[in-house]
Amino acid sequence: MASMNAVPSDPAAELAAAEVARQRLAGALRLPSWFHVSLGVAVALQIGSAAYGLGDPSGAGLLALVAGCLLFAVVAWVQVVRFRRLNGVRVNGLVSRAVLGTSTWSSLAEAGGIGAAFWAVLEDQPWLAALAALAGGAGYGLSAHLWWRRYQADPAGHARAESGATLLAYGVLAVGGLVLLVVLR
Amino acid sequence: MVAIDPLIHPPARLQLMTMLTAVSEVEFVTLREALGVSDSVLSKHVSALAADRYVASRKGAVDGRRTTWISLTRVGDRALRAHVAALRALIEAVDVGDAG
Repeated sequence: MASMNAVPSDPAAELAAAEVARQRLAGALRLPSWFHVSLGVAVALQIGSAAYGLGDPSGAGLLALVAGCLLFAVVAWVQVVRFRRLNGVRVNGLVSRAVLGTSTWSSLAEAGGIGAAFWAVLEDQPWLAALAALAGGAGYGLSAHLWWRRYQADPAGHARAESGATLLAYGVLAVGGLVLLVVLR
Repeated sequence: MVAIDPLIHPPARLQLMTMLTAVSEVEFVTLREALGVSDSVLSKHVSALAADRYVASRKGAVDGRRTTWISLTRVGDRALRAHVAALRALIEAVDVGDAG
């Protein structure tokens, strides 16, 4: 396919124009309103309900756990659809790293929040559990915000999601960990 | 030396493919507005690039209206990287020549 027949008259200008075009497209993208806040609140509620559910062996506890997960799934889905409609683009990196929280800081915020909230529930400290849930949610929202800033600075480096195998491994780990906690409660 | 790719050589196509690296998929209308070209011009570029599997297009619907989604393929991504490397090599060669 490639040949040396076509030689650009000004390759530097062509490259610069292409990079400007890419930055223009990425710079014009907008997040839906309440994007970070809604994700943070959904994660805080998910952490809170998970901690409550894991600490309460009754059916109500399990129901709260499932409801928290469903709430997060709905908020995530709505924000992804709103982003696509608002901008006319799909960015898989945004979905996996910022929304589903596969970035390092998102994962740490959520896992840390769940761990601390669960411990607080076991210690019968509901206010501490609520505080841990809020902190986890805030960390998650902040992590999404930071990811967006990195994407805007280097869109090509952040547009792609992880490979399917990596996402599957994350999913198995998350579901497996949750099932283990439910069984051991 | 890495060769210039004649399929990506036109500046509009280089811009189009470079823009596609910023997203996973883009609507035809969004791409047309970002490139500042007409429907027919963009269609020709997309068709030419799709013929060699540099880009992929699929039909979809948004809010009840039909639309076309365009994305960069792995083949296209590799070709773009090679083309950009070739352009950079050209720039370097010109710079070295000027310095000499």
